[in-house]
Amino acid sequence: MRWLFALRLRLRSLFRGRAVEQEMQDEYAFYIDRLIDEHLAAGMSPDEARGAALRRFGRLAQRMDESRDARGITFVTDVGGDLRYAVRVLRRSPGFTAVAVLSLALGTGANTAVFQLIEALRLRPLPVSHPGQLAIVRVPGRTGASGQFSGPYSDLTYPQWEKLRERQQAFANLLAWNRTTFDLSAHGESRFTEDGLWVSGGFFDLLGVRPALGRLFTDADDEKGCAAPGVVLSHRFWSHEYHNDPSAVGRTISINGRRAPIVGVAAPGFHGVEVGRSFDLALPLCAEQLFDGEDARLVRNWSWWLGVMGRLKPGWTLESATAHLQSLSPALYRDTLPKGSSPGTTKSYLGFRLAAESGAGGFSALRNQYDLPLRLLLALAGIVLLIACANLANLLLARMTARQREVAVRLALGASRARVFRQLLVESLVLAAIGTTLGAWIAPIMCSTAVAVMQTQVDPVFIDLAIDWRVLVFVVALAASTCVLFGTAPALGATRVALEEAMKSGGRSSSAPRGRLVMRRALVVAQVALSLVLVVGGLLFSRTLVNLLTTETGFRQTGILELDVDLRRLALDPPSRIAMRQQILDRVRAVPGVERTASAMTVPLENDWSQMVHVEEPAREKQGISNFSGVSSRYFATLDIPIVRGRDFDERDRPGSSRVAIVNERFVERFFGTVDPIGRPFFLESAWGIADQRIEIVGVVRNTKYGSLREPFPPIVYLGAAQNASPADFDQILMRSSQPLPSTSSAVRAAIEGIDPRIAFHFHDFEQEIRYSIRQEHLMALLCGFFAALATILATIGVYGVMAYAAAQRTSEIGIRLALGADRRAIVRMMLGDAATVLAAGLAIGLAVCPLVMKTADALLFGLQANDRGTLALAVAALSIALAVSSYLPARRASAVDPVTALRAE
Amino acid sequence: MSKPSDLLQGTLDVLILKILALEPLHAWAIGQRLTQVSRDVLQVSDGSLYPALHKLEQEGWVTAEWKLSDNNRRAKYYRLTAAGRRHLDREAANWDRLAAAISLVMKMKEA
Repeated sequence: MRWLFALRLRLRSLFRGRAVEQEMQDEYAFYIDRLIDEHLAAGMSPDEARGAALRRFGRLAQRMDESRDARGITFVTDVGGDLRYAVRVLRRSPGFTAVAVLSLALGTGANTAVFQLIEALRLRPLPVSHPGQLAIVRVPGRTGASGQFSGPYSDLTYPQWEKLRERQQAFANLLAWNRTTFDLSAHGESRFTEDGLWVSGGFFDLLGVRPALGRLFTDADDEKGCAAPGVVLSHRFWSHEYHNDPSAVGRTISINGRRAPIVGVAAPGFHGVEVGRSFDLALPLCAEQLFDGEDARLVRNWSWWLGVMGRLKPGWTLESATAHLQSLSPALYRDTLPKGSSPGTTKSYLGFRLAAESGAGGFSALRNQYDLPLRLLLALAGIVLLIACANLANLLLARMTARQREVAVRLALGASRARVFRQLLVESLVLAAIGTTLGAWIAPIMCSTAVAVMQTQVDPVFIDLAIDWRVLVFVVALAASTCVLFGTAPALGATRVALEEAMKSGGRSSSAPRGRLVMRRALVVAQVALSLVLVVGGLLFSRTLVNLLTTETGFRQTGILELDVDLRRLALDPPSRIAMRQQILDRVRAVPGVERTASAMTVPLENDWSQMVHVEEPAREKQGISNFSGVSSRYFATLDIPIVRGRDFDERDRPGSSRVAIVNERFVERFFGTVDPIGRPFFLESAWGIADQRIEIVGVVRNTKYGSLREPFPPIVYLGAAQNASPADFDQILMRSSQPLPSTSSAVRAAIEGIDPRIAFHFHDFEQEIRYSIRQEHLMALLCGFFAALATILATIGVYGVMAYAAAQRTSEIGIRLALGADRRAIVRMMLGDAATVLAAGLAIGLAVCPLVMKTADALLFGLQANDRGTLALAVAALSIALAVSSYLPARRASAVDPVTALRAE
Repeated sequence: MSKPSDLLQGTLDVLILKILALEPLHAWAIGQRLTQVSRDVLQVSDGSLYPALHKLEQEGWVTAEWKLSDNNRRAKYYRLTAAGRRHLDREAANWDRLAAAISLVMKMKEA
């Protein structure tokens, strides 16, 4: 109970300070009155009595102070006073305060922003019930799987999922899901959502998600062959599409041209199991066949498309669950092996072993993709903050010199060094607090800028950037450590002054301790070294971006409009589908301004298709994987890919005619060497019941990029789209026009709508898609460039400050030199020589540190390596020029001093 | 911020507590009582009673209220709390042990 007493008294002292003080004085007055009374009674005169009483009482003021100290809140009230004083001091020098606060804000803001991204992607568990019990079921490091893959989480096929669910014992529940694109438009131009979900019936239940409205799915919604599936909306989608209208439940929504009733809305804050994405609407897995028609993956045992997650039963761990999954894997894969798989495929298929991995953080391709970039960015942002701190320490040291007299006076008047130190540190604390608060305020802006660069129309990014306790802890820790970093050394230096000397010199800086200049030089060396690392980083990533933008792709990038058409709503049989596809192509070709048009099953940098091929040569057999595309005639003309030998596809190539292909030079190199391939065959390896197909090469084209700008030219086979007797009900059309793309697209839109209003279609700009494919590099170049610029500015300020300080210190020396006849240019040279030493030391250290930081960057670079000499030289040169200018100005001013003035001032 | 000045501080605390154990008193009366009981041997500088009392109050060993004094003026009366009494008992036991030990040493005969 004693502490309760104490607390009550302390709170009273803190908040009713005046009353407490009055009481204390009353009490002392009472005592003294009694003493006086006593002396009066002893016969003294009133004056004598008062004097004697006070003598007997002792040092009244000191006693009162002791009583005040006894209240135990002096620390608080003193700090309060320090704070007020600090604010006053900082307001008196707005220039310094602005630079300090701004550099800290940018430094801490950048760190907080990167940390927020890392936190959201890596550290935060899924916002579902008991995320720690969740596990992802997949085959770790799977290679050699064959079939169709849908997106980054293509871990299981539907038959595998069914068997797994039946046979496993480790999980109380399992869920399966796939992210997909839904077309929400009922007719005409498509309106896609990239955030559609196929989910198993127990999806929401397993995650503990409650409905905000209506109901969510149960196992009954996901029964094989379901004919009238319902739709569950996310809260976000319901908000912006239906404006929170409760009557949305029960209405129908058009998905891929088919209407389905909305049965419920999920609770707000639930964004699915994928971190980095949200979901708009979910349909049960069983309905996939209804909506995807012929392309349904539900019934194909070679369609890998499901991500699977489970909730471990009590007592099961990831290890025991993995052991269990391993033991049931052989039978599971044996029972689901697609008929007619090639021997190689069969061997790897039967060798797959499922394992349980931690699922608390959900699925996240974005996390994997940005893991290294974000860690590197955090390191670089940390360096920015270090530079800002060094810069600030430098500025503070300069201020301390100016305030030497103030500190000396305080010390002389009896303030303890600890007390003065605390007061100076409080000033730093105020700066750190304001800077960090501002930083925390701009962090979300930087964050959403980064997210904006990370995402594209077809690949949206959703990151919940709510500030939670981890971010708060990070920000507070950041503020505290920056304060310590930049505040301690100057404050220690300031309180260690020799008193008499400081007083004697009248506060002028001429006799300031030599050690302080050494410390300032050391800080500048550190700043230059760290800045070099950032400038190198900025250059490396800018050059990577430029290299990617200018890399030889082998195809034309500009002025190409891409049109995706979807014929599913027309429900055509294969022959009429061929006719329809041809009609669309012809209509587009007839649009005025459209010069070249072709269709392609895979478009470079957008789609993937690879398969095993083998070639029989007289001497030996070669086999390997090649990339594929199915293209119409004039594809190569449209993309400006030169045909170097043989011919393009033409009327001879139709369903039933012997299969022909055009290959690229890399394919010829890989499979034929120096032999002329025209007229020679290669074979498509058998798969899923289709026997080996013999295909004859009729043409050779130049190499082009296929999957990414980064990889070297791969072997590519182009099959004739016109030879396919049963083409897909999707098509991608590339067109080149003499007109601007917007006017072309509106003319084409009219043409397509004129054929059949049920055709769904969608335009995009090919060049834009290529830019999208390097958005990570774009982000890195942007942020690293920003960091480099920031570092250079801070280093320039730092060097300028030190040089100006050194010049001021040496004013009298320079005056004497000038008076003795020294040349002004010699003075400038002397000062610059001084600066050059500091710069050289900084650059040397920076060059040594650079490889340590940039080593990890190698994997992110393109066309150059982290130790690229040219880049290092360029960085050194750029930084040297900036710093030379910033040291020349003070040097010149120093040399311009009038010797008489300089000497008189001494 | 001043250093604790009085070497006898700890001792003074116990004496104050002991005096207050008998009845609540104001500071003036505590001083009077101390001199009187110790037959003028123990004289503290009158002023040092206050900081000591205020510290005891903050520690929660004594508590105070304002009452009218014998000469009809408002004075702050200090009273021992339960925690203060326990503290006093502990300190008194310590003191007895220490005093006995010192006295044993002091009574040693010179050889």
